[in-house]
Amino acid sequence: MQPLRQPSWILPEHCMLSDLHAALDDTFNLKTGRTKKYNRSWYDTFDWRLFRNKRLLTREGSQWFLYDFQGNTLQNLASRRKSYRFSWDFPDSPLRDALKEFLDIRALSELGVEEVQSSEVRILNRDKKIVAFLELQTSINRSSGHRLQTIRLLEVRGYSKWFKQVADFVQRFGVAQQAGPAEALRVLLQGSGREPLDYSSGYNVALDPQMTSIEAVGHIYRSLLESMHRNEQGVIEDLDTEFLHDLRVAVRRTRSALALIKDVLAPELSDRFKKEFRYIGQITGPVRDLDVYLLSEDDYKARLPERLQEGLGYFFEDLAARRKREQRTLVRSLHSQRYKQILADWEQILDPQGELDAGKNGAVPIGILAGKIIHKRFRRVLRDGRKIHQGTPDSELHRLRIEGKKLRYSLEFFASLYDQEQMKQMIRQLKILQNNLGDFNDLSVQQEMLAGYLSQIRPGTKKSRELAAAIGGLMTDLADRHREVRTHFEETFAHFAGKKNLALYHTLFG
Amino acid sequence: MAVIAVYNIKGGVGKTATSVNLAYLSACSGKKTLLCDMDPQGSASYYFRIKSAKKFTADTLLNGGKAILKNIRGTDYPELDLLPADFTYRNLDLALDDFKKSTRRINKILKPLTREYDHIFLDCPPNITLLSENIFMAADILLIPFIPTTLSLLSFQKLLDFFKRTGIDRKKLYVFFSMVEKRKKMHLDMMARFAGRKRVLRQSIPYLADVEKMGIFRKPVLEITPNSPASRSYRIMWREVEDILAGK
Repeated sequence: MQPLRQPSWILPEHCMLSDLHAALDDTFNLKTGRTKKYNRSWYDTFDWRLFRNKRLLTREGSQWFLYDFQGNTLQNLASRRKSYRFSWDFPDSPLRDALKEFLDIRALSELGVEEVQSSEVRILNRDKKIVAFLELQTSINRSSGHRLQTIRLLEVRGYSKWFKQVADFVQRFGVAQQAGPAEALRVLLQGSGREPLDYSSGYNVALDPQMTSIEAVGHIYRSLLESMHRNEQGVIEDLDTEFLHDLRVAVRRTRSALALIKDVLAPELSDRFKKEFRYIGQITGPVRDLDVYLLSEDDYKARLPERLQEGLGYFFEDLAARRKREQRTLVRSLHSQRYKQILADWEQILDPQGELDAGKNGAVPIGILAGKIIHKRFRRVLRDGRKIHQGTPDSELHRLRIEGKKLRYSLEFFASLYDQEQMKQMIRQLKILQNNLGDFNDLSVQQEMLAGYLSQIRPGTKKSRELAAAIGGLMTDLADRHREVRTHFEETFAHFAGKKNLALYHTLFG
Repeated sequence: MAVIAVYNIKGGVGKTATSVNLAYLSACSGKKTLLCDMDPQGSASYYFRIKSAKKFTADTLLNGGKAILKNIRGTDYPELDLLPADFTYRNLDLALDDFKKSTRRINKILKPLTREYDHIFLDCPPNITLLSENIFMAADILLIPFIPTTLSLLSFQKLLDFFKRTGIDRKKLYVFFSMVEKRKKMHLDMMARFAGRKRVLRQSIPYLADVEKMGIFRKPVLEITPNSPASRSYRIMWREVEDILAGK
C-alpha cells in the first residue's frame, strides 16, 4: 500500500495562519479541533548522528518522538522524564532500540526548545466525513524569540483528490516553501551558533595542489585547532567519552603534521609546539585510557565465566572511581594557565590575517611536497614490514604500527589532492593492516596494565581473592587473543604489500 | 495478524455495532485495523460516512489484487481503515460460485491485506451462504452475537451443525450475548443456561439506546458516549477478545 502523504510548508513571515484559516473556511467545509499548547525540545548528538541518518528526536510535552525527514513518526514513547543522556537510559522500548543503533556511545543534548501552539483543522465532504487533516502550528523559539508558522497536510486513505485540492489551495495562498521538520530544525537553530552537520569527527580539509605548503599547513592546523576548541566544553562537562577522544585525535594529528610535514613551518615553531601538544596529549591520556577499559566492560564480561563475574565487577567499580578522580584532574588542567596559553599562542600564530613563519620548504607547492612525504612513509612501512618474520620480537611490530600511523595521517592530510575513490581504497587497505597491529598493541598494553593491577591487589580478603581470580582469567584470555592476532600478521601484511595494492600506490603517487 | 469475523445467521442482532466498536477499539490500541463491510446493506460503511467508489463492485472484490487496496478508505480515526460495501455485494454468492475452490476465495483475497494490517474485521451479512462459508474459512475467530431467546438458540444450533458437516474448526466460534434486556426474564434464564461455558464470552452487550444513537451520529458509540455502559461493555469485551487472540 502507498504510504500516506504528509507534506509540510513553512508560511512566509508576512502571512498569518489566521488568514489562511479564514481562506480555507471560505472554500472548504471545515471543522476546527482543539488548540494544543506544549513545549517541543529537539535533541541530537554533538556530531549529528540522528540528523546524518535523516532522523529527528523531539520531546513534545510528555511524549518522545523519533521522526524521519518527511515528518513520519517512526517511534513514540510516553515518558515524563525531561531528558535522557544515552540510548540505554531510555526505558525498554522500540524507541530505545532505534536510538541505540544511531547513537552508539554518544550522548544526546538539547538543541533548543520551542513553545508550540498547534491546532487541527479537518476538511469534511458533503457527508461530513473527514477527507483531509491540516495541522496549523506556530512555534516560538524560547531563546531567540523567533517565530515559525508551519502547515502540515495529512492525507486520508482513499481521498487523494481532496488531498490534491487542499495542497493546491495552500500553495495558491502563497505558501511556496515546502519543508519537512528538518527545515524547521534549521530555522530553530538560527542564531544559536549551531547548524545541522556543523561537526563531524572525520578529518576533512580540502587543499589545492598549487597552494604553497605553508598555506596548506595553515589550513590543516586551523581546522584541527577548531576541533580542539569545539570539543573542550564537552570534555569539561563530561557529556560522553567521545569529546575527549576527538580532542585527543586533533592533538595527535597536529603533532603528526608538525613532525611529518618537515621544514614547512619555521623549525623553532614546530619544535616548540611539538612539545606543547605532547603535554596536552599527556594531560588528557589517563582519562582516555580508563575510558577504553570502561567502554569494553561488556566485552570483557562476555569473556569470563559466570563464576568470575563478580570479581570483574569490583575491577570495573575501581576503574570507574579512578576515572572520576582523573576527570577532576583533567578539568583542572584544561582550566590551567598553561593549557590556555598554549592554545591561545597557537591560535595567534595561525591567525589567518597574519603570515606564518615558514621554513625552507614553505614555498614549495603542496602538491609536490605531499607526494614526497607519502612516498617516504609508504617505503618505510614496506621496508619495516618485510623484515618481520615469525621470530621477530614484539617491539618491532609496535614500531611498524607507529610507521603505519604516520602513513595513515599523511594519506589523510593530503587525500583531497588525489583521486577520491582510489585514495579511499588505499586508506581502506592500510586500515586492515592497522587494525591488526592496533589489536596486537592494545592486547599487550592491556596485559601489562592488568599485570600491574594484579601486583597492587592487597591479599587477604574475599573481595581481593575474587578480584585476582577475575584478573587472572582476563589475562589468560588476552594472552590467547594476543597470540591469535600475531598469527594473522604475516597474511595481513602480505595483502597490504601485494601487487594490487602496490599498483594502486603507483597510479596514485607515481 | 488476525482475521476476526462477526457473524450470525439472523439479522438485527447487533453484528454491525459490534464490528464497528471492536474495530475502533483495536485501532485505539495502536493496531493497524481494517474493517471490511461485507454486507450489501453497507451499515458499517454508513456509520463511518464512507461510500464505495462508483467503479467498485462485487467483481472488484472477488478479483482481488491491487484494486481492493485502492478502494480502502481511511476513517476519521487513526489506524482504522474501512473497505466499504457495495450494493452489488447482494450477488456475491452467485459470483463466488464461478471461481474454482470457491470456498477459499475470500481467504485468497485477504492475503495481501494481512501484510498491511494487524487486525482485519469482517462484518458479515446474515444467512448461511457460500459467502459465509468463505468467511468461516478465512477467519481466525468468529464472534457470534446472540440475543438470549429460544429462536436464537435454534439458529445457533443450525450453525453448529453446519460447521460439523463442512468440517470447519468449531474452536473458532465464540458466542456472546447481545441486545440483552435485564428486565426480561427469558433473557436472564437463557444467559444463566450458558454462563461459564467454553467459548461463551463473559461480557455481554446490553440493549441500550446509546448503541442506537450510532445511526444518528454516524460514529462508534465509544466516540459518542465513551463513558456509557454500552461503551464500557465493548471495552471489556475487546479485552476478552484480545486475550483469545493472544492465546491463538
